[in-house]
Amino acid sequence: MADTKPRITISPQAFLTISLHSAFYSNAVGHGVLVGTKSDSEVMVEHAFPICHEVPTKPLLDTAMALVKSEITGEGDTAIIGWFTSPEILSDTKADAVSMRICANISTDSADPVLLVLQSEKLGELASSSKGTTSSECFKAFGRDFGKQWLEPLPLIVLQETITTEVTREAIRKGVVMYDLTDHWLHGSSSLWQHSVNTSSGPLRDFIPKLNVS
Amino acid sequence: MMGPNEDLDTLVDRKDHLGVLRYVRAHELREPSLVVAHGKSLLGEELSKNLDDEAARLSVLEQLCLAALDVNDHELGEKCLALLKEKVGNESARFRRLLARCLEAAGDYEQAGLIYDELLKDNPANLVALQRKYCIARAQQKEPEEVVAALNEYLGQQLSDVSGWYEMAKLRLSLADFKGAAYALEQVVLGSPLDADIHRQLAEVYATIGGLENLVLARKHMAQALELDGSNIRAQFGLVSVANQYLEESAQAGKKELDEHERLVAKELVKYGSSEVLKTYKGTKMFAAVTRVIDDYADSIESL
Repeated sequence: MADTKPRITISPQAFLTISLHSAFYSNAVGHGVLVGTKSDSEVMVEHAFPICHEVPTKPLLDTAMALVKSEITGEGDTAIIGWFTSPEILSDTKADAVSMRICANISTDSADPVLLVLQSEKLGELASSSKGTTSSECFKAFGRDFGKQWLEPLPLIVLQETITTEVTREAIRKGVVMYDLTDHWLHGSSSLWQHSVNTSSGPLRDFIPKLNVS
Repeated sequence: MMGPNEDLDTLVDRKDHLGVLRYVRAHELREPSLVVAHGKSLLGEELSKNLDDEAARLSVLEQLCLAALDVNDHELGEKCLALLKEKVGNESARFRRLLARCLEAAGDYEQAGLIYDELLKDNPANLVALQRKYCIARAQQKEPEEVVAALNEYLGQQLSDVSGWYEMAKLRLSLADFKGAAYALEQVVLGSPLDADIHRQLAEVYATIGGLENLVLARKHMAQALELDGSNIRAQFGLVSVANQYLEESAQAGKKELDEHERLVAKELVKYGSSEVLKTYKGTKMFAAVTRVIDDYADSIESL
């Protein structure tokens, strides 16, 4: 049987969330959880939950995963399907050892998670519209390879690419803040944990109508 | 003149430019835009105004130069450097240090490194030079062993530098060397025993390394973090997580390793942490989601 790689499809709100988190924490590494649906041929990244802007530890990871699962309870087939990272160094294009370790930890017997790595230089170009960079160029997706490392490139597209690119550029230029779970803990329990699910009250509320998503 | 009760906002409102710059220097704040604005207001756009105190003017020029580098205004930085060179010459160690910083900012790490090497030849305990050599190693993205060695060299001369040890901890974490990070954080705890967040970080690192002994240490430090700051939400969740992790690992351990007293303590800590988390989130939008998580922990400890 031919071994086909699944195609990774990123929703506009997930793209916007990850990009804004990375833009806000441009001097630090970013990490977060990807949530969506999976089939043999496609992985649909519906939402992104920014977790931290530091190297994650086991207690943080365990708690974050539990909270994400709890947040998506009752959302049908939606489940945790991967991890995203935005490297600290601008020119880094591959995931670090910590991200791969996390993917290995969240891997199950039936499914391997997807690892999305933000290409920071490309995001910078997108924000400055200097080279016509599109949103699909701002991420690389990786699956597990034969060496059990997340280095196998996977094909990727971003939905509604043109409008997503424009809205992301606008949001970055406006300096929209995207806090993560560790920020939520720092600011207190009443503060919002910003992720792409709570679009009606979070920093994405002004941009979601422009993306024509629910 | 800046008095003991002056705060930065008062000095800024009063347009006491020299006072603002002294405040920033004394409190070791990183406010480059503020320094550039007040430095230019004090010395003029061409930095040609004199002050009554020549030593104060030279300090301002040095501070302005570093701030200019921070905001990527290399032209301003070079102007300050040129004016300082006129006054102090280029043999002064302090001037050479500043010159090396300017070279670093311009990306000329080779030349900057040479200057620091010369400074270290004159004085092998020149801490600033050792610090900058580490920074250059990081900026050049050298091999991890080299970067760690550079920081080790600095810490070898300055064992009591808590922020240096914290930098080592962050470096080790970025290399996924959690054992090294734990050692470094232990040194930070020695220097800052009342910092709740450091205890919390150390606890998380011990829990990441794993093993029953480390999990006992993790529990202790997480409990200490909450003792010092009961409102630390991350430590509240952390206590539940590490105590639960101890129960899971001890359930798989052999009879020799099993300590029933420690297991009872762990169960009580899970219950305590859970109640603190629920108290913290009561009445908030996330209460339902958090309750589900805590209920899962409660169910799991019953079976362990």
